[in-house]
Amino acid sequence: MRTRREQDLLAEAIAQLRQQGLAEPLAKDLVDETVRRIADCGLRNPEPGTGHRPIRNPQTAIRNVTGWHFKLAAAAVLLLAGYTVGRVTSPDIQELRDALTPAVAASLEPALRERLSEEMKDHYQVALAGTYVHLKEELTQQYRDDLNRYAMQTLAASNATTNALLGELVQAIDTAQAQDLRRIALTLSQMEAKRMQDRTQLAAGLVSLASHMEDELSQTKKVLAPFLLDDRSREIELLPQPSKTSPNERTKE
Amino acid sequence: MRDHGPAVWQTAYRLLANHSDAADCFQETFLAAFEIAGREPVRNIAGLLVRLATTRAIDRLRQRSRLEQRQTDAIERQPPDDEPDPLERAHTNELASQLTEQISRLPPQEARVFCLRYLNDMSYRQIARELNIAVSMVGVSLYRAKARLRAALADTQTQHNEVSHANKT
Repeated sequence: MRTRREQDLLAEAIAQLRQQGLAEPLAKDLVDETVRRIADCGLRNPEPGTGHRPIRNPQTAIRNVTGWHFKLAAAAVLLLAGYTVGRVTSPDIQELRDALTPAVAASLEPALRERLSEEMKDHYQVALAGTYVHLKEELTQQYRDDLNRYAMQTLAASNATTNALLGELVQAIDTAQAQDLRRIALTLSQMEAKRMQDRTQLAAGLVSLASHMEDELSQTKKVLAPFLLDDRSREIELLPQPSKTSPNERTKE
Repeated sequence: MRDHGPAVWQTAYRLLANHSDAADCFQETFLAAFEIAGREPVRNIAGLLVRLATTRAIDRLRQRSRLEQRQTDAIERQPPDDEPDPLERAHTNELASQLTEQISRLPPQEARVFCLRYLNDMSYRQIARELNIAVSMVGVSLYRAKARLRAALADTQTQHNEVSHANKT
């Protein structure tokens, strides 16, 4: 029972301990600092006697230890070493190192250069992507601002134009109404003058007609007066002598 | 470093549970690996880094344990500023803290074998190759380490329960 509980305790403790390592992520500053320290160490302390060449980028060096670059470089180094050992009669380590150093450097340089180029390319791509996103956001914001400003300016100009046109329209309407009123007044005054003139002419005509008719009547009266006098006297002659009858009897007749 | 850095960092931080100590261990590990890579060809860089990180973390753990041992028991240890809240740590990582403390008291080889096996999931063969010992020796060291740790954890737990019971009463 106790052993069982001890096993559970140990398993639980191991599980907690494994979980503990996941709580804190690796900081990039620490990686950079470590790379810098390794680079300093590699530049300051080249391995004497081993022919080890200090590598400026230890991260690349460690990564390439098992890579095909290293195998290729190792094959080249082996070939050159065999060739050099065959050529060199003296087994002096210093001479051997002097002979190997340029070859090793020449064989490692393309691989390191290619690796560095790839890393720089990745770095530039990341930086370029960030710059592109930033630039795109800035341009979008500027485009929106310009569009809003242009819309406001256009709206203001449109309002001013509309107001000016409306003013002109009101002024034109007022002018037309004034002209119409002046024409109406002129026409009314002309009509009144014409009416007064017609009335005067009518009155004069009536007076003239009346006087003319009066003249005609008097002339007619003068013409008819002799005839009337002649006929009267003839009738008087032709008429019987009045009898001694009463007026009532004459009426019956 | 981009490929193996997280594994090394987890290995160091698991055992040390302290940011500054883990950072020192991380840097020392890569410096040592760089020196070794300059001296001799390395077949398994991941195994080498994990082994170096484990060894250095255990060494640092033992140093810390000895330092705490020297201090007076009456003076309580003041946690560093970058450690988590004590109450939270007590609740969540109590067993983990006890286990790291007991690992620091194990013999060095047993501690390394235990950590590589149970914290880094390495096989017996990989551990034997990294530590340059026989596979059977790995099994023996692991058995002894587990037995010691089980007993130590059980004792610590018993003492803790007794103290809790006394405080309650």
